[in-house]
Amino acid sequence: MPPEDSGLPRRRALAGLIAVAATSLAACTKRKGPSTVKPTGAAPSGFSGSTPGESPSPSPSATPPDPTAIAAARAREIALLTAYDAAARDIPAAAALLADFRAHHAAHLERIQTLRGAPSPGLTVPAEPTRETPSTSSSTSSKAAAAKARAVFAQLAKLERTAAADGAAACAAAGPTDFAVLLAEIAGSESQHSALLPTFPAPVPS
Amino acid sequence: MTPRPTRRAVLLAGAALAVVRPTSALAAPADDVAALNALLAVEHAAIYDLAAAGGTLSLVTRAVVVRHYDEHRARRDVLTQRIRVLGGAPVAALPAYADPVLGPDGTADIVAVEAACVQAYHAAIGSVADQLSRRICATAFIDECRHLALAKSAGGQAGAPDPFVTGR
Repeated sequence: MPPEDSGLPRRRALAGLIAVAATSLAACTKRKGPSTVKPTGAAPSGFSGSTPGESPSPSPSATPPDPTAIAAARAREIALLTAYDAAARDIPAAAALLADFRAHHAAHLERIQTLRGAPSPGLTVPAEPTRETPSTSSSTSSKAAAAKARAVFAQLAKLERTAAADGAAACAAAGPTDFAVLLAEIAGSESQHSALLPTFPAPVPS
Repeated sequence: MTPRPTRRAVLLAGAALAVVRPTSALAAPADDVAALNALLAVEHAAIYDLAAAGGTLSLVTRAVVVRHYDEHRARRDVLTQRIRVLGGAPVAALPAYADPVLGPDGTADIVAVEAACVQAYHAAIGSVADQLSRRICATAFIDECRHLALAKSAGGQAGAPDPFVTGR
């Protein structure tokens, strides 16, 4: 049993262990040279309760991503944007609830368009729909409206789940690391949407 | 007596190891084993922490976290199996972890654990070279994103505030 008063603070000991492990791994990657080894100090600190986002960016790859994979990712985003727009048209009272997630997909699409090898936009990116005022003369009961909204949210969640799974599969097959990470980021966002959509309250038509 | 490592320290160590080698072009299987073992250590710690926090949660939140707990256990097994297939030796869970410092309800702690897992898998996607291992990491990453969103939502936070989960 080690002595109690070793004089080595636990954190310092842990940092030492990490450094040793990093050095060992660096030795395994001689072919890439030492410049590609991240210092252990770059460890993410998301578990401290702060927002995640401090893991290092992958170094840009020399190889451009496969244009077919880019086109597929782009098509997924356009399909989702179209679905959100249709949902907002169908249930105007839900448009505000869905606006943030729609904006996320617009941001995903924008990022995809910046990739080397991205096809020039052949399809028009759907413009954000104008918010329609719900008809006050609707004969639909509020119960029916709520049920319809829940069905629409469930359908969107299903689309998001499928897109996330497709994105994860594409991530595994993607060649360049930075493209794989981008695909994973997008798929992660879609996974979050799919989890949260069923928790949305059914909007009350005004 | 040696103090027990906190699970946060283990999560930190695991995440640090997962980002040691950020590119995959020339990776060797041994590197993948190291990255997957780092993730396995994170899962061991997360499983402990979720179990510890479970008793402090509301019934509704607990039901969600129990599902996540089961998924973490399943993923631990997937990682263990993959490491063996690659010829490595899976790391074992530590004999004990220091008890997490829990708030009035453990939701904040759950959020922290899931956020750490998101970061670890995100880093690993950029590290592993083997396609199947990357698939495992990518699938786990989207699952962790889902866990994080639901944990945040249970704690009254916005579940998905950003278009890119890790902020990039």
